[in-house]
Amino acid sequence: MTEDSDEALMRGIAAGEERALRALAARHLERMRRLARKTLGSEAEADDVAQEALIRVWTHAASWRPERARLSTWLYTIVWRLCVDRLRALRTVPLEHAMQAEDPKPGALETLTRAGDLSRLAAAMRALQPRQRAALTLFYYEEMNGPDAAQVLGLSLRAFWSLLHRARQSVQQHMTSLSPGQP
Amino acid sequence: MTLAQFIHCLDTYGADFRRWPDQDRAAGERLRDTSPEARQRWEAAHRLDELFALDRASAADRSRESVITDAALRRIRNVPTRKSLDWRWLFRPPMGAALGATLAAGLIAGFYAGPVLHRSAQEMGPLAVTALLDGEEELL
Repeated sequence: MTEDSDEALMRGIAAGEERALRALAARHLERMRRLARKTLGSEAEADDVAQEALIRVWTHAASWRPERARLSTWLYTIVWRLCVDRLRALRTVPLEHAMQAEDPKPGALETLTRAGDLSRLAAAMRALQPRQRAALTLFYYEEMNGPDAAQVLGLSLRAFWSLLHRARQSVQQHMTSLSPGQP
Repeated sequence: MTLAQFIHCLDTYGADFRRWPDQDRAAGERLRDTSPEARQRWEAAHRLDELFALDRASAADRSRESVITDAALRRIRNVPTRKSLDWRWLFRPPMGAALGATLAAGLIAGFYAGPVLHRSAQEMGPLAVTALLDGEEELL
């Protein structure tokens, strides 16, 4: 059985084929959720954003132009904008607290051998600005190249590298300060 | 490449030299292989990269994806289609005729009643108009 290309799937979605949306979700939803989860710091919020993003894909499928942006870039852009909307809505409560809210559901991370390191990483990520988290996620988790990641976040390439640099430095500093040997 | 430049690249692109800019890659690898401090910095960056990769691999939860997709499709099915949001039905018979008749009646009424009202207002003068607006009918 041959897999449909992204272009074929998007044509199917634009024509109203639910099967095409399911196939696209199977291919891309995990990464879309990861960006939302890392940016918002919450599984539940990430699920809502992912759901909303699929609806936007459905309603705007015809507007995607493969010659302008890769599908993954287009999808991440949708997710990032939805995250920004959520973060703006959260500003009614102090943003730092909203960003540091613990997900009530314990993750599988704690069961891993390097649980300590991973939970320190999670804490360090939570301490970052949402845009910094998104930059790290796109570059290191999703392995996007700089120009594409900059496009998703609506930044110049230079600004993106600067953001990524600050984000990674901050993570390292937080990880060091949270490590067991530190006072 | 200086150690400071090396550290700057590590702090931006990580320990994987494939992500580094082309012009810095070879110099970075050379420095890592010749400078103990650069090597130490690179190893620390590599540990962080590994942690990112581990975090990425451990957090996948495929079971939620179908739930999210199903929920999105349910909402999509319930969203009114563009056709039902079309306002053109207002301008087609019989609604179109009714709307047209109402507009025509309004225009005719405005044409004949407008001057009369305007004259009355002029005859009453500004004080009377103010009084009318204030609801003080005894002034009339």
